[in-house]
Amino acid sequence: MTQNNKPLIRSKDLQVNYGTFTAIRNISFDIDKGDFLAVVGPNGGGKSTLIKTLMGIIRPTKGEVETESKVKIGYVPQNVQVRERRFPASVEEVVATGLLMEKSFPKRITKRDLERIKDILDFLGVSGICKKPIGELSGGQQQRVMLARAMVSNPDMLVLDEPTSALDITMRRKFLEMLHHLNEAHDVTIVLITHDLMTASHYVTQVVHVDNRLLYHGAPAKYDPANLTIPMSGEKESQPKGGVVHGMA
Amino acid sequence: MEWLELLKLSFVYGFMWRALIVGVAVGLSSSLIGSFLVLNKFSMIGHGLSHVAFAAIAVGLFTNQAPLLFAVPTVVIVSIFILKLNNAANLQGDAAIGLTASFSIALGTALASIGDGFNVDLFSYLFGSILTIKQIDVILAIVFSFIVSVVIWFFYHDLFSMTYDDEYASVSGVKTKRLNTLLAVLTGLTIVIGIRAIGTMLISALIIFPPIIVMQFTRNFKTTIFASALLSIVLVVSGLLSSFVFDLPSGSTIVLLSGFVFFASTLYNNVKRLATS
Repeated sequence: MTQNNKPLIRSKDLQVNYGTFTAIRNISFDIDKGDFLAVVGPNGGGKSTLIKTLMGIIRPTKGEVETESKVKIGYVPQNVQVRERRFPASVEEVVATGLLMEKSFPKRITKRDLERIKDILDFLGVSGICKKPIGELSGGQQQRVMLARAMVSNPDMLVLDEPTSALDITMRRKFLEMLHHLNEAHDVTIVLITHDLMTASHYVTQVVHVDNRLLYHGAPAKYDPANLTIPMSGEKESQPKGGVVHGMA
Repeated sequence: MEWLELLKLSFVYGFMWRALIVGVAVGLSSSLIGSFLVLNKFSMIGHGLSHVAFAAIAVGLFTNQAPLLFAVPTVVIVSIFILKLNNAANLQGDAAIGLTASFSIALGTALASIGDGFNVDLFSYLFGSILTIKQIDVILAIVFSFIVSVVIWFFYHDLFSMTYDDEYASVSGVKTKRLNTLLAVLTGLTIVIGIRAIGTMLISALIIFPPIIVMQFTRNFKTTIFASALLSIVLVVSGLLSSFVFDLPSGSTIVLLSGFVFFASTLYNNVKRLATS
C-alpha cells in the first residue's frame, strides 16, 4: 500500500466491448504497492485487454480505472520478438524510448541518459550490446532489452505481458528470479500475465484469474484452478474455494 | 563528350537552379518522413495523397486558380480525413487510402476530360517538368521543407518510439494519434512541394526508395535517417541533371535511377550474404 493506503491502481466494474463481443465485464480489483501479481486465465479470456485497460491503452466501455497520480509504469508487451528482424534500431535507441515519459518538450536524450541505459543493461546481465541492432539479439537478450526499456525510468510498477513465453525453462526461472529481486529489494510492484503459474507461483504474492470475468483474486496458495466455475450469463458467480471474487465480496 | 557539355550547360539556366533547389528540398523532406512511414507500414499514404494532389491540381486548373496553392490545403485536409475515415468507417488496413486515391483519380480525369484546354499542363504535373518550376515553387519548397525538418527534429524521439512500438509509446505518454495526424500532414506538404519536379504520379517513390535502400545497410535509426536524406538528395540531383542531359521527364528519371540503385544494392547485399554464409 502507498503511504495513504491508496492502491496504485483501482479498477471499478470494468467492461470492454469489441463491437458486439464483450472481452471483459464487471471487473473490480486493486493493485497495491509491493504486490507481485500474476494474471492468469485461458486464451481469449481478456487478460491482455484487462491490463491494457488498466494502463490506459484501451478505454473501458463501462466502469473506471483510478491510477495513483504519480505512479510510473514500465510496460513489457507481448510478442516482442515478432517485430521485424531488420528494423534498423540499436539497443540503445530502443531502451531510450523508456525515458520519454519523464522528458518534457523538446525531448532529448543526454549523455547521462546513455549512461543510465548502459547501467540498466549491465544490471540485467546484457552488457556490451548498446550499439547492436535489436534484430540481431537472441530471444532471451531481446526480452531483457524490453525489460531494460521498461525499467530505465525507475518505474514504481512493471507490467509484463507473457514475457517468458519465448524462453526455455532455465531462462524462465532466471527471469522470474530477477523480477522477484526487483520486487523484494527495490520495492517495484510487478503485474505479470502468464500461462505458467506453476513456475511463477514461487514468487508471486497475488493471483488474479480472468475468464472474461474475475474468477479469483487472492493468495497463490489458495488458488485452485480446478474449482473455478465459469458462470452462465446472468448467473451469480460462485465463490471459488479459498479465494475472493472481487466485486462480489 | 556531348553529354558532358550538356551537363555544364545545364548550370547556366535559371530553371535548372530552381529545379535543383526544389529537388534538394523535396529530397530532404521525403526521406525524413519516409523512414517513419515505411517502418510504420504507412508509406501508401504518400501514394494516396499524391492522387489527391492530382485531383486538387485538376480542380485548380479547371477553375483557373493557382493549382499548387489550391493543392496545399486540399492535401493537408484530406490527409487528416483519411485517418478519420479509417476510424469512423471502421475500415481495415489501407482501405481508406485506396478509396480516397481512386475517387481523386476519377475526379481529376473527369475534370481533365471536361476542360480539354489544360490537358498539356496536367501532364507536366503528373510526371514533373523542370521547365515549369517558378520562383513561387522554390519559395514553397524551401518553406515547407524547413517546416518538415524542424517538426521532425522536435518530435524525433516520440516519432521513433511510436514507429518501433506504438503501444509502448502510448503507455509512455506519447500522443500517438496526434503524431500520426502530424505525419500525414507532413506527408501532404512533401507531396505538394515535389509535384513540380517529380510529378504527382511518382513523388511517393521518393518517400519509399531512399529509406528502403539504406535500411539494407544501417544498424541504427539515426544513421538510417541521415543516410536516407543524403541518398535522397543525391538521387534527386543526379536524376534532374540526367533528365536535362537525356531530355527525359524529370520525375521518371529520378524514379528510374532510384529503382536501379535499389536493385543494385539488393543484389550486392544478397551476394554478400551468400558469400559469407
